[in-house]
Amino acid sequence: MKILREYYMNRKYIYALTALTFFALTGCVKLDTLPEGDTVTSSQKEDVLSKDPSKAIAGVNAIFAQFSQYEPNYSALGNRARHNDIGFPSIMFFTDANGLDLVSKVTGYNWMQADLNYSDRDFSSLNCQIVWNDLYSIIYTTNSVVGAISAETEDPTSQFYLAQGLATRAFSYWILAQLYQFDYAGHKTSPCVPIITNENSNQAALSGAPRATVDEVYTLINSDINKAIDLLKSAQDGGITRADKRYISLAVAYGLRARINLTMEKWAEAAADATSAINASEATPASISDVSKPYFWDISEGDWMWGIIISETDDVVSSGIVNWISHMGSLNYGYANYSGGMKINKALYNSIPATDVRKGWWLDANRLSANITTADEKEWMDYYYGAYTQVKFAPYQNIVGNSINANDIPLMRIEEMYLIKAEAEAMSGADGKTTLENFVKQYRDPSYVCTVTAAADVQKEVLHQRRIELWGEGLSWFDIMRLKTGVDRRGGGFPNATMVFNIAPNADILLWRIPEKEMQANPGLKAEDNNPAAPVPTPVPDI
Amino acid sequence: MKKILMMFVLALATTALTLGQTVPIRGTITSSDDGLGIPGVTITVKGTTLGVLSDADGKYSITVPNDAAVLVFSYIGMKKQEIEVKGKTVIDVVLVPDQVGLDEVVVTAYGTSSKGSFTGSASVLKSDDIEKRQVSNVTNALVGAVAGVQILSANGQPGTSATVRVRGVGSINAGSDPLYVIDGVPFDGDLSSINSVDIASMTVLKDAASTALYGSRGANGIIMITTKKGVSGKSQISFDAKRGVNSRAITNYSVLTSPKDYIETEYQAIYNAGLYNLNYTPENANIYANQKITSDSEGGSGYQIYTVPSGESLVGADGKLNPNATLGYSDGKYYYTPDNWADEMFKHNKREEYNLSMTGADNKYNYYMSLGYLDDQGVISGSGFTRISARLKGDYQMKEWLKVGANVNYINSMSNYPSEQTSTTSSGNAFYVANSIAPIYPLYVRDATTHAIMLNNGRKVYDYGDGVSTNFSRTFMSIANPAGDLIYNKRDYLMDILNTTLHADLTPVKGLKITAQYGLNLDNTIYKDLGNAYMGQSAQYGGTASQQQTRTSGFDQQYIAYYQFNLNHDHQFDITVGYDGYTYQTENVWGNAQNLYNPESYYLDNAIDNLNTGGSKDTYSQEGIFGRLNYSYKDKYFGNVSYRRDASSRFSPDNRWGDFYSGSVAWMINKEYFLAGTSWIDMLKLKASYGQQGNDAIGNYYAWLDQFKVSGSNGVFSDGTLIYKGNPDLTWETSVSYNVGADFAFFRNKLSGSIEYFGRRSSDMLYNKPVAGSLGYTSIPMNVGSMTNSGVEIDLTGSVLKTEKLSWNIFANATFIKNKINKLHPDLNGKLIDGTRIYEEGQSMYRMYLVDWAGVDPTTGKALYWAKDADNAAITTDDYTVAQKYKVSTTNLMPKVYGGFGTSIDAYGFDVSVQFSYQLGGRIYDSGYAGLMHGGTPNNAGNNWHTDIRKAWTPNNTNTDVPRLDANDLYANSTSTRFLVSSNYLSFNNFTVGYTIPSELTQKMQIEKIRVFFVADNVGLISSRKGLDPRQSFISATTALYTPIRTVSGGINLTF
Repeated sequence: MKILREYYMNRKYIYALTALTFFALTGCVKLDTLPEGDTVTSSQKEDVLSKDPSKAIAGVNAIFAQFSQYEPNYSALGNRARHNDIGFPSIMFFTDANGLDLVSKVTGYNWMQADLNYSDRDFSSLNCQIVWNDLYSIIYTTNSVVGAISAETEDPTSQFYLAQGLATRAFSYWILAQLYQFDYAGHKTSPCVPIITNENSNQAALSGAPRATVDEVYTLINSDINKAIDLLKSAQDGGITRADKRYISLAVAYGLRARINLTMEKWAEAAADATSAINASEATPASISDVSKPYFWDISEGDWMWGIIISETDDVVSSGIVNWISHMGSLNYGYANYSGGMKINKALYNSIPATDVRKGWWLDANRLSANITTADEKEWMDYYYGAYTQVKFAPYQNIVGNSINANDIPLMRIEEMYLIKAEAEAMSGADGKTTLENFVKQYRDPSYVCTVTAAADVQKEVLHQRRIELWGEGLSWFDIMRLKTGVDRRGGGFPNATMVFNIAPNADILLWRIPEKEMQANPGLKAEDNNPAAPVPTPVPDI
Repeated sequence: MKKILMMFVLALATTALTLGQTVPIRGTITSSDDGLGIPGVTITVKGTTLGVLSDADGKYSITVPNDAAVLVFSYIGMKKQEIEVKGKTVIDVVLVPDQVGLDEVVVTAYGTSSKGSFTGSASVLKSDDIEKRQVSNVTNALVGAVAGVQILSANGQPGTSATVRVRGVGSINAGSDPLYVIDGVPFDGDLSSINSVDIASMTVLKDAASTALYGSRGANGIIMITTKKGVSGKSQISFDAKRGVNSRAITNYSVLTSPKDYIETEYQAIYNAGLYNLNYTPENANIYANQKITSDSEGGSGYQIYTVPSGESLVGADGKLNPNATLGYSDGKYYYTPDNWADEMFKHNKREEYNLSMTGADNKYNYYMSLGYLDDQGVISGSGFTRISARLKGDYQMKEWLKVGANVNYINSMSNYPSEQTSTTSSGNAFYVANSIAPIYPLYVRDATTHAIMLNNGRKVYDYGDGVSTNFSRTFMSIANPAGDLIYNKRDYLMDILNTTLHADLTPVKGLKITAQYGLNLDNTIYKDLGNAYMGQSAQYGGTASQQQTRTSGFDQQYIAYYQFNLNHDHQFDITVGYDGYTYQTENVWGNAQNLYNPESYYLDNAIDNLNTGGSKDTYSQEGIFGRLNYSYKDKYFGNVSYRRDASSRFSPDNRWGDFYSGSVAWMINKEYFLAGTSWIDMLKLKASYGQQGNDAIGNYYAWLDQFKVSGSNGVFSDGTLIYKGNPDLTWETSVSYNVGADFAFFRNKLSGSIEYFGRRSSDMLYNKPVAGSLGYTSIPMNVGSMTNSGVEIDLTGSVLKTEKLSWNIFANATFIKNKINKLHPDLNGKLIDGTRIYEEGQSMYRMYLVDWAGVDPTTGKALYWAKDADNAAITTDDYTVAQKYKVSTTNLMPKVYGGFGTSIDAYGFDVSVQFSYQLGGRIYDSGYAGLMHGGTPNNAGNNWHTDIRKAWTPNNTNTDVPRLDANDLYANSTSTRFLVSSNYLSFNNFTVGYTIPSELTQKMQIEKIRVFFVADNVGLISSRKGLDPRQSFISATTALYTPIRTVSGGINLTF
């Protein structure tokens, strides 16, 4: 054929072809690509660990990093940037705003509006998803830690790490249990939340997980916190203690168990744990002089047992306004400047004696506070805020108008332990009254006298103290659920008549609903398994 | 350009040698298109049956009787030429393409094909049609122009790309963008970097047989862009200039425009809340509403703009504005009066474009040079796009066996792209704010005594509604003023883009060509952002500065061998084998800081506080090997098979490689003897193809791996917060396409076109499956199920009139398309619900899952939704949270047919053309309208209303489908089936009129051609509701996007 006849090749073609082949072979692309920057894959983590074993703690730290995240639900919400989507502090806000002590106005800048009017209970609402996803994201990181360390480990460092996972998991389920079902004692067999642990997470990914009962969830909570306490004791004996207050120390673990026991109404155990926490902790209650000015911004403050450490370089801070103190803080730059600020329930405020240092934590009816003393502070507060606005929380570095919102966020303060101790002692027949009196007198109100003696009355008085002391720290909701107080906002000074509700303690609206997306994607849940859909509450006339 | 057709001799030629004396004639036949030889041209002696064909290089030799007078040169797609012999022995001929272009060249994967031999499915958009459109991004020129291509445009910002969908959307989550291939090299860069003037043609390859060789990257169709090149023997300089004005092509919905109207409506909402929800008496409700209406809560707007005589209330018991109220209010310090935000924000900005190009070619070289300048200022301040582009393209035949070429395109562009214009609820979005703001708010701060706009060092002071710029707090988008932001904030994307291809073709033996081709696209973008220090949110920080530098590179390398041969001259073979490797890298460093020294400088060192910085890099790569065999028999039967093996770095090493096959056939029926006598058929070809392709576009570059975020500070690291749940089992989505159709030309090419039936079945679809949040993550990538897009495309071009002085052409295309999900993941039991979308087996993917609207309760006026009672019987409820349990799936929302049509007339030097696009038979969720039909609740306070709100329920108007206004009813305009409307539209895309000055006049000025023209783009849109633009998406439309720009320009083309 012609082709064959023409088949010849001289040297230059051979050179050319060789060169080409060379290019072709050297030019082949590399298919194993990995990200470089702040995203790491599991393989990169292993690689780093093999080069630098000290990075092992980075996986444990993830638990606490998960507490403070910048818009962690952005993609889960369908690429929505929500300025109240900041990790665990979102839950602190939502639950406080549901209650009656954190008073705020309906305005475009108040990101707690949906919680103020309970439209957050709509199972397709964004807040409904944020609460659920955030808590289970923390559980995911705890499961990773728990699953990676043998329960029988003898190494004190590993024991310490494992305890972090277990204790935080107990904390997370404790929060969940109180959001998705009523009180423990009356609802042990009621459906609570799905239990996802390191042991069943793969199974759950395949076939879903049903709602466990309240009792089952508390069994896990207790098992986790008990193991954590044992591990922390051994770790401590082995010379390993926490590097800073983001981690769970033995005292914090006791404190968590005290909370759990309080919720379960195991009064004696709660009192014992609170006492252990006080004894084990280096923290001491903030003194009257400490809290005679805006305070509670720095984890190094002596009364903090556990908290979220926020750095200036964190995304929540560099965002400017997408952070806890932006919404909460009166004296810094942030949403509060425009939302009218976060206020205390007027009736609660009026119940604080003038001799109590905490009277200064909020502006009074005349928009004054003994704690607001500098000209800067006065001018700032006068410009932006009305009566009852909080000045409990200081701006970052105590600089008025600071736009760097790097305040640390308290998760547990020693004062709470005294209050748990007092309540639990009273309820278990011991002298809680004296415990309460001593605490309040020494640290808050020198003229304080507890006028009641009956256990139930002391418990009520402790609740009163808790509402004042722990205001704005994301704990009020759990008292409402545990003590079945309902939510009566009448007389609280809610600025909008449409937000004045009186919700019965057993009203379905109090329970969060499992998000629609979870219902759709979790084969373990059927439509009827969800908490009932309840209409938003109807306003009642204020008093 | 290699034609596939090769030399073969007509059988009849051998019978003609018995005649008397003969003369040899030889010559070369070249194309006026590219100056290259045309193989396969039929050369006959007029009046005889004598004839030969030209060879691969376009050369021929024929021995003719010495009495032969005329030679006829004919070739499909070229104008037939007759040349008198007159004793010449060398006759060179340049063939000019036929107007209708029966056999134009189709640019295919790794090569070209004549349309006749092309077995796949392609549509071509030529430079003439592209140049008519004033587009700052070439993708916008595809609107309505070709069958099978849908264009969605959700952002009218100059320079941004439209969303292009070829034959539907192949996948639920995986990327559906087509691949752009520029002069044979895949292009991943910014399409705004291509000057449309440089484009000779855009070919949309639609079926797998055409696209298969590009492998996975071409799974969603390929748009082959061929840039211009020189014409042999002709040096030409062209210059064109256009200047015009932009305006908004889509204006707002019909909204309330008078403050009185607005305030009375707002009053009614608050009054009703008092009456119905707080159980006030009518008197108290009136007092309550008057108290709240100017407050910043409970449905009030936060602003007082009317002065009311002391002791009187703003709105009377009759719900009417107090007749004694006067517009304008002073609080002693400021004066408040409404401004028209739309008028203040939307500007008639200019658009201008100048292009200069030079071309030339001879036997050995070919060049094209161009220089372009574009300045498109959009329709809002601070959204301009300017581009300087230069291209130098050249080919050089160095040796007989070696040809080298390069195409270098440098672009320098500056875009002020204010990114928030597509962020639907952002307070920085001028479109959202202007379209939604109540007609009561001032845009500027005015002085109480003079009523004049206040100035701050010469700058107008804008009202940010934050209680700081004035004493009022706006309830709608407070701390915001997009007009002020657009003027005082700055954001620049300065881009240097270098898009280079280099190639070398070796021809070691005849028929064999080996090509090495490299394409590098390098994009260096510097982004700078200034948050102004004068007013608004950024002023609180003393101004903010950001700088970001991104370098993106896409490097493509191809090594391909082509081998062509024939057997017995009848069997033509063309074999291609090759390797294609691609690496994409993107790397960036960024920083931002606060508190500026110079309030107008966005450089980081100009700021002193809160410096934050970062940097990262991503890499993605892909490679493939491929082979193809083309076969044709006697130019009548064509066949093609190909194979490609692809690997992607997105998948785990175990699941990385995929094998994909394709094949196609075509039959040129008009060449069969039984049609030989049918003179009205110029061409009729049947074709069919079948092919597979892979798709890896799942969005994440490392989708097979779990990914965590590293964070921390002060020496404490955290690396375990999960940010992406990977799936090691993830592998290729495979799409199988089939195409059956006919290409035709009838009545001496007066009517030509194609009709095709196509199907595209994707299986193992890449999908980000929503998973239960209780697992600690909310989605995981998976290969889930399969889906089919199928339909019919019709493309018609008709020449109604054609005389020397007058020609009139019409084109129309239509695509009927159906989408069906065949199979979902077995876990899903046939149904997947993802928020408001539902994906169900046997149904279209374009369905929503919504609460079902049941109208308005005539007694209460509340919105009703369908639900079910304990016995599963349908009931209505006004509690949306209950109705949510009973959502319904809608029917398929996708349009049943879409396409375009147009016409052009050339007469006596004038040319006029119009072009339209349309879609019919679909529905869309009108979320823009939904937002304007709120009930006056506090979170909607200050948001304007659609005029339909006048139909709202009142005790006197109970027969209505608009619920009562009530500031405390949460569910008046909740997402439901209520807001689904027809998505039919007709869009008048382009109108062009031009006049070419007679050449007798221009040639005296040494100018070959002068054409002056007037052109208008985005002339108008008819949709089911004024303000609704169904072209944004298949599912929902909003009012909060940078709307398309109407540009009206005049210009001139000069050719020397």
